[in-house]
Amino acid sequence: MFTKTIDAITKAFFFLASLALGLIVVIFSFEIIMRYFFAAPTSWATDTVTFLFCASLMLALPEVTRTDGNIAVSIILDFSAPSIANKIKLVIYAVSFVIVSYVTYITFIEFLRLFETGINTLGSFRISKWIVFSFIPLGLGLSVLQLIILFKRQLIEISLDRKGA
Amino acid sequence: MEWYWILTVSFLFLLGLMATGLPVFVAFLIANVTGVLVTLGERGFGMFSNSMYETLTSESFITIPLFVLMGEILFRSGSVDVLSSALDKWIGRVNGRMYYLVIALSTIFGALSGAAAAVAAMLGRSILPQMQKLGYDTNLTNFTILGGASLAPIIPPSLLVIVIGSLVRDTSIAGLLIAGIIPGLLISLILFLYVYIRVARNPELSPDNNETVKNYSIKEKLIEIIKVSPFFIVIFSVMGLILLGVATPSEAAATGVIGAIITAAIYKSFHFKMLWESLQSSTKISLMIVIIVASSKLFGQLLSFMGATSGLIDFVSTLELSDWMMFFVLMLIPFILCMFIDQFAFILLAIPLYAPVVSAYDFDPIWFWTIFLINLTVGSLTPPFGYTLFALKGSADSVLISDIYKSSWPVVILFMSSILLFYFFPAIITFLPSIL
Repeated sequence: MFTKTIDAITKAFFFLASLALGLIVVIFSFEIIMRYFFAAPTSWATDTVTFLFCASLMLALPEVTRTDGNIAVSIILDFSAPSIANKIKLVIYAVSFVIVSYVTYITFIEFLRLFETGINTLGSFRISKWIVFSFIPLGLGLSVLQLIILFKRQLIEISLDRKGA
Repeated sequence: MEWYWILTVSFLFLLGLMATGLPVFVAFLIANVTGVLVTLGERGFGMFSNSMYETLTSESFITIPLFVLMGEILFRSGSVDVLSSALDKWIGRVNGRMYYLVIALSTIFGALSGAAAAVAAMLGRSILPQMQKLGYDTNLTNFTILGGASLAPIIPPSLLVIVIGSLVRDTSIAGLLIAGIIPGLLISLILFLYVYIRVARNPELSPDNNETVKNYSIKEKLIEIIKVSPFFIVIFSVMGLILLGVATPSEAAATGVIGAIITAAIYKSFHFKMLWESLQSSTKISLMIVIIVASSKLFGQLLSFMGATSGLIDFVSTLELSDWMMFFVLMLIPFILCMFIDQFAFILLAIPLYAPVVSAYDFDPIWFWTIFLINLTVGSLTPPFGYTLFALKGSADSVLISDIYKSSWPVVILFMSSILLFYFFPAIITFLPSIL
């Protein structure tokens, strides 16, 4: 149930992340049309795409974590025996879980500070910075939950290996 | 602690973390959290969070997903196949013609995008699987992709040139942009020559020997030109709009996506399902690249904060070295540091300290900064941590990172040889800007 729920939320986030990238294309194109065909540049387009960029990336992080797609220097894993590689992976997931959890905590504290102080973003189109910033702890937090799932799966794989041996 | 100890300990710590197989961004996060806790304590959490926020909301980096998306659309719609097929017919009976094709394509896309990582990701996603299927040697294919993609920051329009030009006061941005044309094309030619020699010495690298290559008539070749003409829409959407001053590079990347959609529609291969899959794939690839940049930014800032970067550069600038020795040292630093940290971050750190040294040694600014730029590019494709390598790996699941490392060394050597050539024959760089 836990895994299914987290995976469903992850997929929903990824859907929104992909949609945000599509919106970036639409807004940039709209801006160029408005600027050069109607001589009426918008004041919000450039800033909005940077907000969407942040949202798109951080909402995609849990899905990339779920599929174990983050880039790593995997030389040791590539050259290790499968049973050893499985154990190394378990440690990698555990360490990743600890550090990403801590970074989630750090960014969440910053999110609370921004929320309390009501600081705005820089640029010509300003909104409360916490709105944009919120995607960082959100994406990291859901990735932490995905790391728990990966860790659990890896444990099962190791125990199956042992039974097989 | 002395700056050299800070630098040594920091880099060894980071190297050790990455070598374990941890995701690269996690390794940077560990190094950064440790650095913040050691130097600033909890007071540094704001700095930590904001360094991530700045990268994740940077307009410059939006170019990466947009160019990846452009490539995805051209690939998934089969449009790239039309271009490959046309160039293939034009190249004709040349052994290893796909290698030449990749260098030509990456030179063109590199010129369009200005981001080596984006081009490597795009070609890794589009051309690499096709070439593997055709039986081309994976390592030489990786070489052509890495080499061609690394021309991106050199051949105009280049984002890095604009950043450098805006930070160095006595240098014209237009001059710097134009200065990259001849060196970029020359390096491209060197890559062609390398492939030619490799294939000539070892014909097995090319599957062409095992098949009969048809000789096409001029009429057939002209028809191919008409077939690929929709690609001019993509080229105009990107290059044309930038050169006309209509769009910023990021905006031009977005219009390039629209151009790719129009091209796919002309080839009657546009579907919303294809577009959606392209969006999803581009989002994933971009995240893999940008999350590393976002995590690494603070690493550079911490080194700077602890005085390691300025200590290193101050040390170098007080050595009273001869011209060529100083040139060598100034090039060695970015070469090494750009293996670990983002090029933008390095430029921001180094230029304020480099500029007075360049001026004191009376180096021609356009010549120096163009070579500096090429050197940054070499750093980002040098194992084990060059960003361009990770971009290729991120887009090509079937290729081992160890194979990518192996393929990158010849590119590094050729680029370094080119730097030597530009050092001894500065007119290669300064000729075009001088007639501006």
